[in-house]
Parts: sequence; C-alpha cells; structure tokens
Amino acid sequence: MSPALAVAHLHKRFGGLPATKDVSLTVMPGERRLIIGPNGAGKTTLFNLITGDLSADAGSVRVFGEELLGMPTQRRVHLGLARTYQILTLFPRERLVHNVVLSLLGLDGRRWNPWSILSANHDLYAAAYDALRRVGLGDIAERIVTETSYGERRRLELAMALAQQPRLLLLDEPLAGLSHSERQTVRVLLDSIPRDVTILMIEHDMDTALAFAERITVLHYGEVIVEGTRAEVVADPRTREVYLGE
Amino acid sequence: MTRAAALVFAACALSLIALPWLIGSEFYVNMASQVLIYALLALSINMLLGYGGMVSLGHAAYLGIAGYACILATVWGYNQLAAAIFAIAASTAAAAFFGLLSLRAPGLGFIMITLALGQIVWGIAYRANNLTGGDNGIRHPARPMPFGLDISVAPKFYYFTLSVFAIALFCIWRFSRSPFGASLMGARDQPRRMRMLGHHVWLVRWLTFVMAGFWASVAGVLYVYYNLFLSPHAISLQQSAEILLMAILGGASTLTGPIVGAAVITLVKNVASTYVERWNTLLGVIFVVVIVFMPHGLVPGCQQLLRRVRDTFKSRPSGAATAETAP
Amino acid sequence: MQWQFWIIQTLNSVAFGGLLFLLSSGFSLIFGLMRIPNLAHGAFFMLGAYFGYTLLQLRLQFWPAAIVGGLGVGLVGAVFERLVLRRLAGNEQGQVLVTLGISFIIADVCLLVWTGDPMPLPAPQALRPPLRIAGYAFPTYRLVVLAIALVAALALYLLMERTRLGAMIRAGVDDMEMARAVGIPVSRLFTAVFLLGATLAGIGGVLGGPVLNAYPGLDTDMLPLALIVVILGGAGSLLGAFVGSFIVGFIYNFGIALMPDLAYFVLFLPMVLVLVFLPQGLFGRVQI
Repeated sequence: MSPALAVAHLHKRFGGLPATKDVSLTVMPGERRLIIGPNGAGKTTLFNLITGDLSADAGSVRVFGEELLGMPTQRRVHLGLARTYQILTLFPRERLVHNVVLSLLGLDGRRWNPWSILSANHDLYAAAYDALRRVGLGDIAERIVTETSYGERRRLELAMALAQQPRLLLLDEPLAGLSHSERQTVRVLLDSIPRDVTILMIEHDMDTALAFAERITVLHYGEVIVEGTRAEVVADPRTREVYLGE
Repeated sequence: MTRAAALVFAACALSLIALPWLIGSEFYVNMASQVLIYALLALSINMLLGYGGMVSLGHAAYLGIAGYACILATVWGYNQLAAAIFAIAASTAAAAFFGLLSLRAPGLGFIMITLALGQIVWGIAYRANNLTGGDNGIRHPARPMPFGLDISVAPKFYYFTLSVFAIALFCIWRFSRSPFGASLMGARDQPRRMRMLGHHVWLVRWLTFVMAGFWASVAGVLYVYYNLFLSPHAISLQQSAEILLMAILGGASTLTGPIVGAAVITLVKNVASTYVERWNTLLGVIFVVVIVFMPHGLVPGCQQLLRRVRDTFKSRPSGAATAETAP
Repeated sequence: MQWQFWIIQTLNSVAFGGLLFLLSSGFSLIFGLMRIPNLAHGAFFMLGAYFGYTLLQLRLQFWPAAIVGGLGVGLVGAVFERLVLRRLAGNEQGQVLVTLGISFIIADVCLLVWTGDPMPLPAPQALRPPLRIAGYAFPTYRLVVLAIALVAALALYLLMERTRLGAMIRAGVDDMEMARAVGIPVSRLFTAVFLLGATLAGIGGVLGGPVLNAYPGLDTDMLPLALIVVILGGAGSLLGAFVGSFIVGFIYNFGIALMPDLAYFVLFLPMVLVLVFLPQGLFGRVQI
C-alpha cells in the first residue's frame, strides 16, 4: 500500500539557521502519527513545508504519490490536505456557520460565481450545520466568532478542517490552551475521526498525544531523532535526553 | 434585506427616478448625473478596497484610458457604439495587465505600484500631445447618442446615466452577496487561511481587479459623454485620491457608503469652490480628519446612531454590534 | 560636436540620479522601518525647493540655505509624524492615506504662498561657469550635486553601519517585534527616521532647485520616480536606492532628451521587468 505521506530528505534554512535538516518520514493511510519535540525543534516548520506555506530548499514531499514541492498551497488542498493552526486563524467577525461555509466553498466550483447569492445555496449551509453539529457547536452556529469561547473556537477550527473531508489532516497543537473538560471533548472528537483520514499531529499534551498516537516521530533542532511505535519511542533513552537534557 | 432597509431603498429609488421633476433646475439635474458617475467610480474602487482590502491609488487610469479611447475612436470615424465598446474593452484589458503587475506585491506594495502605474498613464496622457492633446485635452467630436438615443438634454442624460448606474449597482450588489464575494472578503481577512481551505487567493484578487477596472471604464465613457471633453486632470493622482476618499468617507464596509461619499464630496466640491479657493487643502484636511476620527465612514456611523436611537426607544440596552456587511 | 551632447546628457543623468537618491533614500528608510510608503515625500521635496527659494531671496548663501531648507522640511515632517501618524499606529492603510492627505495640503499651501509661477533657484555664483576639460564643457553645478549625493550616500552608509542609531534602524527594519523586545525606543526612532527622511528630501529639493526650479506639480513629478526607484532597488535597502536612483535618472533623462513623448513609457519597461522577474527588487530586504 502506498504511503499517505512520504517526506524524503527535506531541508530548510532561514538565512544561516537550519530549521529542517534532512527530515524523512513515512505515514501510512489511516495512521495516527504524532510529532513531538521541544520548542524550536522545527515541528511547525515541517507542517509549513508540507502545506506550502514555506518552500523547501531541497527534498521531496509526496502525498498519496503526488509530489507537492513547487505546487501552490491551494492545489495541495485540492489533493486532500487540510490543516489546523497553532494560533487560531478564523474569520472573527463572521458567524460560525459562515466560517464553515468558506471552508466548504474552497473545494466547490461555486466559489467562482460572482452572481448567485451565497445564502441561497442551502445545501452548503446544511452541510455546514452538520459539520458544526459533529463537533458539538450546532446550537451556536449563528453566533459570531468573537462571541464564543476559546474552546469553542478550537472546535470550530477542527470543524472547518473536517468539513473539507481531507485524506491527510495536519493538526498543529489542537489542544493548546484548552481546559481539562474541553480537552476531553476534543479527545473524543479526534477518536471519532474515521480511518479514511490519515492524521499527523503536533501536540505537547502528553496524555492525549500518547493515548492517540500509534507511531511517534521525535524532532530536535530540525532533525528526526527517534521514530517508532509509541512503546518504542517512550522506552528509547534518546527521547528522554531530548526533553530532559535541555 | 430587512423591511426597514427595503423601505429606505424604495424611497431612494423613487426619489432618484422622480428627481428631474422634484428639482426643476437643469444645473442640479446635471450635478445629479455627475454624482452618479462618481458614485459608479467609487463603487468600483470599493470592490477592491472594501471587499478586497486593497488600496488602489491609480484607479482613475481606467477612467482615463476608456475616456481617451472613446474620444479617439470617435475621431477616427467609428460609430458611437463601437467606440464605447472599444473604450471599455481597451481599458478593461489595461486593468487586466496592470492587475498582473500590481498583485506581484500585496499590501503596501500594491498601493505603491498602482500609484506608479496611474502616474505613468497620466504622464503619457500629458506628454503624448499628438495623440491626447496633452495638457489641453481633447474634445468629443459629436453629440453622444448611445444606442441612437439623444441624451444632450439634462434630464435625458440623467435617466441614461441612472439606468447604467442601476445596472452596475445591481451587479455589484450581487457580487457582494455571491460566493466569489465571500471568497474575496475571506482573502481580505485571512489570506493564508483561505489558501489552506482551497481558495485561489491571487486569482480571486486579480479577477476582482479586472471587474473593478471594467466598471471604472464604463464610468469613463459616461464621464466623456457628460463633459464632451477629457484632459489629463481626470487621470491625476488627485482624481484617484478623491475617488478613494469617496469610498472611505461614505463607508468602505458597506454597499451604499461609496454612493453617499460620492454625493457628499461632489456637493461639497461644487459648493465649496464658490466660497473657498483652496479645494485641494480642503480635500487633504477632509482626508486626514476622516481617517483619524471616522475611519469606518458615514454610513456605518449613521447606522450605529440609528441603532442606538432605536434601542433607546425600545428601552433595551444596545447589544454588541453585528458584524454583517450592511446592504 | 556629438560628444558634447552625450557628455551633457550623461552628467545631467547622474546629477538627476543624485537628486533622486536624496529623495528616495529617505523614502526607502521610512518605508523599511515604519512600513509606510510616505506619499508626501514628493511634497517634501517640493517644499524644500520653495523654502530654498525664499531663503535665497532673503540673501542667505546657497549651502546654508540648503541645510536650513532641508531642516525646515524635516521639522514639518517630524511634527506631522508626532501629531498625526502616531495616532494611527497599527493602522498601516490609514497611515498611508493620511500621508496622501498631507501631500495635498502641502501642495496647495505652496500654491497659495508662492503662486503658480515656476520659481528659479539660482546656483551659487562660483559654480555657474562650466568646467572646461580637454575642450569640452562640463556643467559644474551638476557635478557638485553628484558629489554631494555621493557624500550623502557615504554618510548614510556610515550612519547605518557604524552608529548606534543605524544599528537600531537596521534592527527595526529586520524585525520590529524583536527590536521592541530588546528595548529599542521605537516611537522615538520613528520620529527620528521620519525627520531624517524628510530632511534629505528637503535638501534634495533645494539642491535640485537650480536644475528643476520650484513649481507646482514638482511633487507629483518626483513621487512616482521615488516609487519606481524603490520598486526597482528594493525597499529598505540603501544600496538598492543608490543603484535604482541612477538607473532611473539615466532612463528618465535620456528618455526626455531623445523621446520626450514617451519618457514615462520608457520608465515603465524596467519597472515591469523587475516586477515580473524580481518582485523583491534588485536588492530588496523588506517584503513589500
């Protein structure tokens, strides 16, 4: 079976600073892969290289066999890539449902229509409501983002990504800043994502991350230090070194 | 639209249609035609500014290119319809090309590049004496008769302009409510996010630029029909700045704002210039005052005021302002 | 002889390039640090020329007039920065538009005070006769303007590379957040840079007086040239402003001399090429 994501010898420098050094990893379809590492290890940079927010200096990124490097971000999205951000990037002055509609439009040919009335596209709005209900935000779909709590916004971010029905989902610290009960809610949501979505996640919350992850990649100073199953990585002395040797 | 908004719209539409009867004087009917032309220009620039978040300081170029093309085509012997179509096509093509250049650097770079391009068009118009008559300008050689209609009389010209304006307003209204419009506004607020959702941000912006250029070109033809004359002043930075100010003053976040802004600026200009010689200083001062003290413009400001008045009457505390883009 | 024509045009071009450098170096600094394209910069140049005219009328010597005129414009700029621009901190769009508004006010006030006739600024007596070398005549004043521009370029380079002020400016251009975080007094720096930029433009205006005169419309003639220099040379880069100024100076001057009808169009071409192939400009460090 061909991998969902195949990163090979990826390099990225910022001026003199190497942010990503010869990173290679392979994620199989349906897998739940966790990326961990101390701050500055290059985890978000890796995500940015995969999504196209940054262009790599060398290497290759293949998603379901297609080479991504050189491809603009929006075309990568059309191949089935979706992402949530560490810092929330929502549309704060719009209603929750509108946020999801924008997400649905991104993959819909209707986004090029400058004549039809958006709100008349009932199927889009129905799908948006569904997406919101799935993350437990169905009741407040008409609220404006600025009137929602941080936990609700994190779930909205997730809803927008899931609405795209991605094949490969990149989650950048989906639990950051959430309260204990909110974490529980999101944890359940993540577990409920079907196996036709491959998930790559960056997370610092070890309990959730370790419970969720099947395989773990540990990054440090832009390099892959350890990789393997959860048990292997946890047992590996290098993992402890990376975190405690700071 | 809410019932209140629909009533306001109906009232405005009726008064616009009845205007030549309500105002006897030919002078003011002509001024109304002028306001409509500038309102169309302001609406077109607001497609870029209000909905797209892009500040173009060279928008008058499309008025100018269309205007000069229309006059020259007529001088060269083409019939009026062909001349008008040629003018609009040429100017829109220029917008397509300039859009490619201007969007190479979004944000502040866009402002600088559109300004430089606008000035270059102005410079060419100013110096190419053989073609454009230079600073002296050129005359439209014939009485404009679009589609065979005689519009030389003030009320007839007014109704012609009003019809064109109404069509444009309808198109731009639908644009603002369309999926494309939503995509543009999303790109204004969070371009990186929009790309990550699959939207082609650059292409959306470029297409908007072309559409805005199109409506400015239409206004350019109307401008030439109205003045029967065109000089480089119509393409000056001052003109571009005035158009921008109309959109900002009225309220760039609304559809009607630019119309209100165009009306206010045109009226102030016509009235003020009888009392005050220094129109440019006044323009500059208005610019600074509006941006510092009233950055959202008149229409949102008035809407806010009305809401507070309404809430006081209903003795309910004013809720949080809704973020809807107003009709 | 043919040579005489080319010599004159070349020197006119480099002198004009020098003037453009005085104009656009300030613009580039302000844009690089404050992220504001100062659309009043052409008006500052023009105001400097008019100040110079009046100071010369008041019998001040040419060189002091250039400095005083420049500082006068600098003062106007600094006041504007503190009273208006600072109120709009964070609102980049608003700041740009407000500089446009000020440019209208300045231009109109100049029209009011100095009327619509072009005002000649006489070059200093000593520099009026041409320099004769090998039978050719070289316009002395223009050579001096070029020399001053080169000195100014060197001075700015030293300022940026060797002084604390320059280090702070460079830090701010590179990373504003970081600069604030390490305690650089950003708002005072803004005022200082705006003052410096405006002064340079003002001095340029006075020095340009004998070549260009002071006339209404000088501001809208110079501003797009400054913009093209920065687009070509890259924003925030002194070297870019330097190289760009001379490229534009040559193209504009030779364009006007050889093809007056198409001068603006000839400027257009390099700008388009640079935008298509090198959107950062030739030396750009700041993402526009």
